[in-house]
Amino acid sequence: MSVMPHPRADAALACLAGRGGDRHQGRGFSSDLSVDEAVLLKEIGYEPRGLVVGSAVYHIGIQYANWNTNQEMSDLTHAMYQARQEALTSMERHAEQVGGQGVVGLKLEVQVHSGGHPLAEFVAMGTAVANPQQKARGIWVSDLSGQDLYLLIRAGYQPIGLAFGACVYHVAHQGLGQWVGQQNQNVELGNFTSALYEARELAMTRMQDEARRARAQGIVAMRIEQKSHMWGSHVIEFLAIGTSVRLVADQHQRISPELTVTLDDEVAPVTDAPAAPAAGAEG
Amino acid sequence: MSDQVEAEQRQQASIEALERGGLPLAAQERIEELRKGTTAWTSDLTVSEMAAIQHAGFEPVGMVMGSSVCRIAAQWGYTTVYGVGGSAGGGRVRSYPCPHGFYGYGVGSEHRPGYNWEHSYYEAGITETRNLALRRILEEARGLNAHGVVGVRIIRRHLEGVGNSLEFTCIGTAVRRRGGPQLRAPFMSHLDGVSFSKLLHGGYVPVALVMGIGAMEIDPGCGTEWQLRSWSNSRIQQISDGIEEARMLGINHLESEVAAVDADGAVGVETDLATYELGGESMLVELFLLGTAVRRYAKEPLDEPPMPIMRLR
Repeated sequence: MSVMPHPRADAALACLAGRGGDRHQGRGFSSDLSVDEAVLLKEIGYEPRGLVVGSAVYHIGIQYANWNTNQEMSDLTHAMYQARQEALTSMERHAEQVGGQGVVGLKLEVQVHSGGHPLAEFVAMGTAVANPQQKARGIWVSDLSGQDLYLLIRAGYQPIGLAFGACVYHVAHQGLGQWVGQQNQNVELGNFTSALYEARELAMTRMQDEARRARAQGIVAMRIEQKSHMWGSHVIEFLAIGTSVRLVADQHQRISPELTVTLDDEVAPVTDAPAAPAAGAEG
Repeated sequence: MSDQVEAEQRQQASIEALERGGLPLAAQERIEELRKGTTAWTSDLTVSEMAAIQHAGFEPVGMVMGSSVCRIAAQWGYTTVYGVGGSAGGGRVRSYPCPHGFYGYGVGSEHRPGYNWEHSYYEAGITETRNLALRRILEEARGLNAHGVVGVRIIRRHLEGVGNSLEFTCIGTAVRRRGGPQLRAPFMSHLDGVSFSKLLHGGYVPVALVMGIGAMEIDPGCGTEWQLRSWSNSRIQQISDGIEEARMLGINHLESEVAAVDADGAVGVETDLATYELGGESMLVELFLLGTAVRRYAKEPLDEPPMPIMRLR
């Protein structure tokens, strides 16, 4: 059987056999980028510099709220925001140490430890990247995937950083009389609706303020997470989070995608990145 | 009866082969059969992976595996070696003195310093188990004159009923390029066949499977315990440090393995953080990372830039 000529395969094997190859400069990196992400980032000039993490473990105490009022739990809001900020700061420090200019694919998670104490670990983790052709001006952080960043940068934008806002809110319990009176009616629970509105607005406003302070023009891939963590159903944290961006080209660069129609019954996944959450799942 | 004797003899021979650093008889025979080419090649590749590998200039030669079961010995706790600089395995230690001023030991049970220390002996045990399994899968791949192994799946589990045991098994498909140069060690990658092909097109070639493990025990001191019992929201410095240290250790160990195989970096690193309660307030935080070390062989971009598409379904 004759062998098909394949310059790339031969070059790759020659490099493994210790003959040549256009090797990377600088330190060996680790990255949680998928192959697609690594290849696409290389296309726009970014090289991975290393996996970076930051973590803050907080003891989340208790704040008392009136049983029957809607109100923000400002101490808890402050703690939840502060803890994330510390985890991010420590991750950014790590990114600086490995010579990164930005962090892609950030995962900002809260893990509640269910031991005897209300402990929450805030973890920030992502891959630091750098473009040797560019001068660093601080570290930008983004929770976008490599594919998204490729598109964003090709379209003429630059990620500025993460923008997020938190709000921990106590939703009032209904009085007993009210509860009994409504048992056989379809009725809007006004206090719930307005509480959710209020809390969501607060979180989003704080996120927008952050983006404005960073002189961003907009926020992409924003989402709102709504969780009760360890507090039971009437205390809810709203977290609004997204990547703030600025247009650096003169104008938006058109990408003009080809239109395709797949003939498969099912759309085959193009990448091995996790599927995006269904549109309209939130908000 | 003679069948049983024969089976026992085979088993004995397999154990002896393993002790000599070789493969058990069943594996030797399987490889021999595949090498002779008298049997069909085996692979766990999907059809698209298979097509992608051929597109990248390689062909599958057979499924290969390596496995090892070890006992991971218990490590002497730092709690038993107070005052000794460095833990039993020579790992990292950080101490948190009693903030209330009772520095001596035995002043009262509620006053004691806290320690974060690395279970380096435990880390070494897991690394050694992994090394044995990897050596065996590479041995099989070499036996097939393969250039590499793709789509390696890792099974890492504790055997039930066997205390402190760890099974480490890796299974993948060996691939070869006809007429390619002989490699001293076949490459290994946990990426599937399609990703392997994309990686190659992107200018990177896989080198080896790399792992990083960071295990830190956190023994809270009285300062930390008092903080845990309080009503306020506050950062717990000792536990934050311990978890961050475990993560850093894992990443550092991974990156030093990358350097050891003369690779440029690692992609597709998967992380797994586990926390174990050790009784009292102590806990063990373990970060496990696994990735494929890659070398860049070409700097130039893809032959054709990726084409943006919009799917109309």
